[in-house]
Amino acid sequence: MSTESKIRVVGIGGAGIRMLSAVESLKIPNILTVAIDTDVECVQNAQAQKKLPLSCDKTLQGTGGNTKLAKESAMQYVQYLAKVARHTRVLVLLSGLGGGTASIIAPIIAKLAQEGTLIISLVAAPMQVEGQSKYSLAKKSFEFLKNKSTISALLENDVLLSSSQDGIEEAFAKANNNVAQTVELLASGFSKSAFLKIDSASLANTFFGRQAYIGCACAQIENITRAFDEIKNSPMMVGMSKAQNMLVAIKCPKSSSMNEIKQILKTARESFAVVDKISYSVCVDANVSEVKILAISSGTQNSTSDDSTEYNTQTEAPTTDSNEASAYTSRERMTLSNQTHPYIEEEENTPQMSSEPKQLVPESEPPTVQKPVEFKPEPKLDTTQAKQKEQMFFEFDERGLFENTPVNERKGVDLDIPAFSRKRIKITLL
Amino acid sequence: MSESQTVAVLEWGTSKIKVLLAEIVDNKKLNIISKSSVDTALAIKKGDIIDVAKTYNKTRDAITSAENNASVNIKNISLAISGTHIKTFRNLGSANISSSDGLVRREDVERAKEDAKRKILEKGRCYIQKICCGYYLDGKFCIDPIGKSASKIDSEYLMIHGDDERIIEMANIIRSAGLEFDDIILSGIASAIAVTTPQQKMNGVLVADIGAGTTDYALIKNGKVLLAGVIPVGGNHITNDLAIGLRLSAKTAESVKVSCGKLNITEEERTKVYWAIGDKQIGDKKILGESVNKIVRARVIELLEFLREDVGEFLVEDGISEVILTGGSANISGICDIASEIFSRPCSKGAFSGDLPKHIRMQSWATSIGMLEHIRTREQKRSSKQTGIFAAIKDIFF
Repeated sequence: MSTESKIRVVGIGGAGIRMLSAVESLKIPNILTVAIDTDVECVQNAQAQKKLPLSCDKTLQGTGGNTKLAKESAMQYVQYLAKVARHTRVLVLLSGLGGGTASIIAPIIAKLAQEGTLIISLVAAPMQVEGQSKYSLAKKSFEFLKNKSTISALLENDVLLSSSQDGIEEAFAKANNNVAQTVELLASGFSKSAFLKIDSASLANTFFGRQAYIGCACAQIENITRAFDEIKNSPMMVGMSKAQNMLVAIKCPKSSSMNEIKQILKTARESFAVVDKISYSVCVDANVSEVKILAISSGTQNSTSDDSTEYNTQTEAPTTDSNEASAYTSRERMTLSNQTHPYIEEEENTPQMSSEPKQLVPESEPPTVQKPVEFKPEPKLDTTQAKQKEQMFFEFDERGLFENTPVNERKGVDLDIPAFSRKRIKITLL
Repeated sequence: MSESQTVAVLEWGTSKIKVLLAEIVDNKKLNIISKSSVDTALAIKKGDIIDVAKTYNKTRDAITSAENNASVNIKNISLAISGTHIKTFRNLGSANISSSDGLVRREDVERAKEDAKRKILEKGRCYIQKICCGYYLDGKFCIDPIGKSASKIDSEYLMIHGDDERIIEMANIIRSAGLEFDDIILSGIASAIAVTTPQQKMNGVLVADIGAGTTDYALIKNGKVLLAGVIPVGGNHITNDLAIGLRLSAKTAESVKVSCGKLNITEEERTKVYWAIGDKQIGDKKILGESVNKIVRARVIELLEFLREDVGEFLVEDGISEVILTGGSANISGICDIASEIFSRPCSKGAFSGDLPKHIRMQSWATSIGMLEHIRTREQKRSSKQTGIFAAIKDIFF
């Protein structure tokens, strides 16, 4: 049995779970996928190794954007969220911010993670037309995540949809696939089999607290320049022209030489005009025929201290038209402030969430934005919905009374884990 | 004038440490004179001693209490043993018949037995019991081979072994309490002795003692123990499942298990809503009868299926004829019906000898009662052997 600790990839909310499905479809070794949502059905249908429905009476079909409900659910399941966040070296959070669930739960998981855990947040931002309140919530969540994560990258739906020639479905599928490939390359960079592993400490020094730009591509070694062009156009790389530092994770065929690695790094430096250092990891995989490259970069000192400058320069981004201006403005807005998350206390000495939501009104925002999104009155449960009250099988290895006893194994099964849980029997809670 | 001998038995259960003191009168009658039980307070989990110091203190308390009740001081004690570290296997030993007439003699039997018992265990393991299951004369099963005709005799032994460190740990606790080991026996076998009649032992019976932390079982046929073992699942697992599944504290889950844990429920009970604590105050919680049933059923059925797997080879036509359930968790309503379905054999709860006092005739005391019965039988055999020798001396000298 492999003793390698698994990278935990957590999909939160509907969008996060869709990203997670793309990750799961790649069948990446040594990762543990976890789907979390307040919408029970969504978790039920998720492709994930572990599922955690945060269901209570009011949140059977999601929170409807109501952050208070999301927080209530989180408080009810805080011990399970802690289990998700803890005892892992690398925690990857995938979510689409702006909704009630992801905007609240993702920061809570990041806060619950142990010190020293390498958190990588890959999050999508809503389109600006979806409303100011949603956008503002996403912004605050992202700011919080940025301050808790070693790497935090943003995938803007505005940019994604406006720059794509594909239909909406294909555009999202491509973006999700991009996220999945990012996870794959990160996993290989952290794996024991990596020839040169990703240096977590250096990663933290380089990217912590700053927005990262991520792109990946695969190509034959002869076409490496084209691969970096592709990386530049990756949805999570938009807004990046000049890099301060860069991490290049390379997965290459067995035949690759050190000279080729050197060439990849040289091309990376030239393509992104990297000012400072390039760190890299190499994983040799006999099953790949092309070189797979993941580039994670931080903006230059100037651009990160004042991102608005950077975004204003991005008018040259592909397929920009007058309508897209709002998209770039939106990214600018996302990175402007360093607000405290509205529902999480920032003080380090508070181990859990505050019992009362902290309504912080940022000066730059109109007061109306702080109101939680109106939640429609809860419809009366019909019989079908009542059936959904059946709580899904909770798939975590909860051992309760036997928590600190040795594994009680029989034919590879730990008998101390509840039988109903292992047999996927649904239990109704009142 | 009748002779009596005081004996003591100790059972280290997962939930309780139990001590029984009894008088064996004329090596025949068992007269229980004292009992005591002390909560283990989590010093023992799944039959394994987790906290040695606490186990020692609790054991000392239980022994002192039993001694005070009966106003006797005990020096030797017999121990019923269980735990996840205990494993069993069956081993065959062979010998060729040495006599020219082809009749099996005692020496042939002894050689076959020695060969069966010779198997060396891996480092860190030690034998707890070696039980003769019977003989095969030229491959044909036989209980008493002496005097029968054959060319080869095989002796089959049930070898019970455990982790030597744990066994030494147990011995140290007993010795620290100022006592000496009298005997040691697997809990499952002790329970089987307590709840079966000689007829059932001949016909073939499987006895499962479902305790708090483990399920100890023994299969007896033709009066011999053919199989025994420990499944590290017991009533505490049901409690734990309820606590996790219904989001209850362990204490509340235990009371829910006792009050509404049923394996077969009616339609009315399925939709019935119970209060977990019952005071309807803050902290109390509504639970659905069906949910409790699903959780308990899942665990019990799984446990019985494991048991069926372990004894599978005896579930044939001429194998065992019935199943008996004992131990505290055998009191769960409907468990015998489920077991009967799973084993396709009649199943009942353990029944005790009518000679025992009523307050002792409880499923949770089956192991201790069985231990006493085992000691009584042993003493009876010892005495009959002595009688035989005395009789022989008498014949010579008088």
